[in-house]
Amino acid sequence: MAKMPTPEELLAATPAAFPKDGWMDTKPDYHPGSFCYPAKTDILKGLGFERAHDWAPDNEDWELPSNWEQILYNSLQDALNKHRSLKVFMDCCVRCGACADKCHFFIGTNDPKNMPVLRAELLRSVYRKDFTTAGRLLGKLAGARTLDKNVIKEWFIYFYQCTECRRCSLFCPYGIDTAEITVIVRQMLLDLGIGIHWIMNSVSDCNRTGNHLGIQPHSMREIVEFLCDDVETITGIRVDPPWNEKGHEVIFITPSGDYFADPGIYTFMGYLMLFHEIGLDYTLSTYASEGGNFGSFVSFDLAKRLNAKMYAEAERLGCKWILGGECGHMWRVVNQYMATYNGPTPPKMEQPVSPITGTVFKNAAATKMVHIAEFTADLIKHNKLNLRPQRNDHIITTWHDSCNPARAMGIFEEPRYVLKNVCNHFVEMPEHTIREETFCCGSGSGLNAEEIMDQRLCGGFPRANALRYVHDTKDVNWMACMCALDRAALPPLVDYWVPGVTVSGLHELVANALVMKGEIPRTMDLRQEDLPFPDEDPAASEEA
Amino acid sequence: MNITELCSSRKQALVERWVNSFFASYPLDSKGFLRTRRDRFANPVGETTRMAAEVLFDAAAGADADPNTVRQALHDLLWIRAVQDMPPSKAVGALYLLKDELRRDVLPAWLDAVSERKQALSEYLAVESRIDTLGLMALDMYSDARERVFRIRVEEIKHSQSQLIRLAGLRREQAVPAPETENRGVEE
Repeated sequence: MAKMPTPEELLAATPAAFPKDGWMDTKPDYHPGSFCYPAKTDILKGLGFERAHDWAPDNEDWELPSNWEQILYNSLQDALNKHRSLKVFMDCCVRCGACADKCHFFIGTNDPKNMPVLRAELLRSVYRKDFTTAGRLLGKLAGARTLDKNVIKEWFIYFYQCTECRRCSLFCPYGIDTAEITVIVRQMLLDLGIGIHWIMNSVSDCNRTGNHLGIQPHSMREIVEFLCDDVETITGIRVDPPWNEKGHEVIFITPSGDYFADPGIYTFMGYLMLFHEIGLDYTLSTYASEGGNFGSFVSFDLAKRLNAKMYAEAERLGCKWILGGECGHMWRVVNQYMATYNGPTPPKMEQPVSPITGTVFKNAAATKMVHIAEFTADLIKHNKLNLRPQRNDHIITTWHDSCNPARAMGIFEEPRYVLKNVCNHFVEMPEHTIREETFCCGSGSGLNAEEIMDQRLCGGFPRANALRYVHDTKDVNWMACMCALDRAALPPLVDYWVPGVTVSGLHELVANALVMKGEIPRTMDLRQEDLPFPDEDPAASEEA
Repeated sequence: MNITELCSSRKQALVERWVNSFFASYPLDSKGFLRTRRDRFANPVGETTRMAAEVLFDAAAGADADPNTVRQALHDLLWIRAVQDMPPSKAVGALYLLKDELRRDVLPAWLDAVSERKQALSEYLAVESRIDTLGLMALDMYSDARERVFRIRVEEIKHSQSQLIRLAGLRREQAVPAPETENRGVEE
């Protein structure tokens, strides 16, 4: 006679039994929500990936090329030859476990294959089999396994559940860089024609039109005109940014999210207001209209291609240096990879010097590029801005250290300095969740695709959890950050985990506080919401 | 001794076992971490589960419990499990496993102590009913969480292209309105 299972049986919550199969033999579970949508064949072909083909992640057969094993073997061999770091990372891990519980995806999903050590082991086991003597001879005993199609499927899931944030590397005694391993595996998958739509479409658009959304010059200009209209409504001042003009000192390049997405647009308005106020000699470009570099998430070759346009445009327009907007991975690419990709900057570019304060940015001697957080911090330090932080008095803000500028590049103090000068109420999130140890937004490295929202919410949970703590205990109602992906990814995260907190860029708050010459008394903030502490109207007080 | 006092006297062991049945939803390799890393920022899933279980246990036992605190604890627990790639039965169901723990541990002791009292069984069953109440509240919260996820997905698409939508709207306003179409060739 058949019986209904007990609740305990139904939930399989009986005291933990050891799983029947080890991790190597546990097959990945594919269902909607567990994977990103695949890249379109014509997009990949357009970018030069010959083996692009139609396939679906939830089909059993991914229709890989018949010689897929050989292709992958060659890819790995090629990567090992090119990147000595990869060879070291493959050989030197002693499985100490220091990284295991540091990944936000592991902490949020509790899936052991999200432990960085095991994520790297997904590749390492294959490497051992074909590239080490012990693995060749001893096989599984030496932690080696034979490549089969399930391994590819596993890579596709777990290397697209790594945001390349490098928190694990910080704790690794050898400094093994899982981000680099992730990029290389994604590149190997692309060699088989396997990529994701969200990234590859953006790369293709950027390659074709200069920015990730594929916005063409006339539309870009129209969109920025809107933002100028908004600035005029708020301040009474018409800002008029130059476009593609030769002979300016500075070219300003920012992620395209800043001029087409909420809430990035308010940050962009902040840039325009700041530049107008200080009289910066700059131009925008419709060709170098993207600071981000989605190529860097999947392939060094694509990253190189997309990076090159920024400097080509700076050279064409005769600009001395580049001012970079609030972007995260742009910063890592420029500072850590660009010299290898594209060699020295064009000869006519110069070491950046702030035209307002005379500060020489020695740190930018090689890249000729200054981050706007450094630039604005320098302006404030030299007392060049008239600021009224009281306009932000309804805001109790915290600062989210974005992985790339913070952990990778060490920009910790400048944004905090700026923030404290434009907001009277600043609260840090708890130790071990900020600065070098900051938790990722959970959607970096091109994973801000809506089809994997559950995964992103899990991956961002450690960040949100720390935010929730300061929201509950110290009434924090705002989180500022300086990364366009963060500005896109944190609002949904906050909406789910900590409703009542607003996410913004740094320069939105700067511009709220900035007193511009000739402006009307401010009654609304950059989002055109009423200021609880508006400026006094001089006309009204005279009448009184 | 009343049933609340009896439950409370065994709280520590019962909560520990109950928490472990929540952790049983996760792969074996992760359980050690969830159980042993006692830091709410380094192990938010484990610690939120533990904090929630403490509050919910008191609520079920019939101790003095602020409804808002109980609701918040249940919400924190459920909204994590709602996005963790497990079926709804698993996300919500572990709540009910407290009944098993109580039947195993508290019920025999209770019957031994007060079996002569007429109301003994109904007092015990009231505890189980409170667990059922928590389960029903959890059902609401789980479905709220899922609805929120899907709303967020839609809103993200809108926000990510807000300026393009604005541009498209403006172009539509500026466009010369098409002449009104007539019913050509159709005799009325």
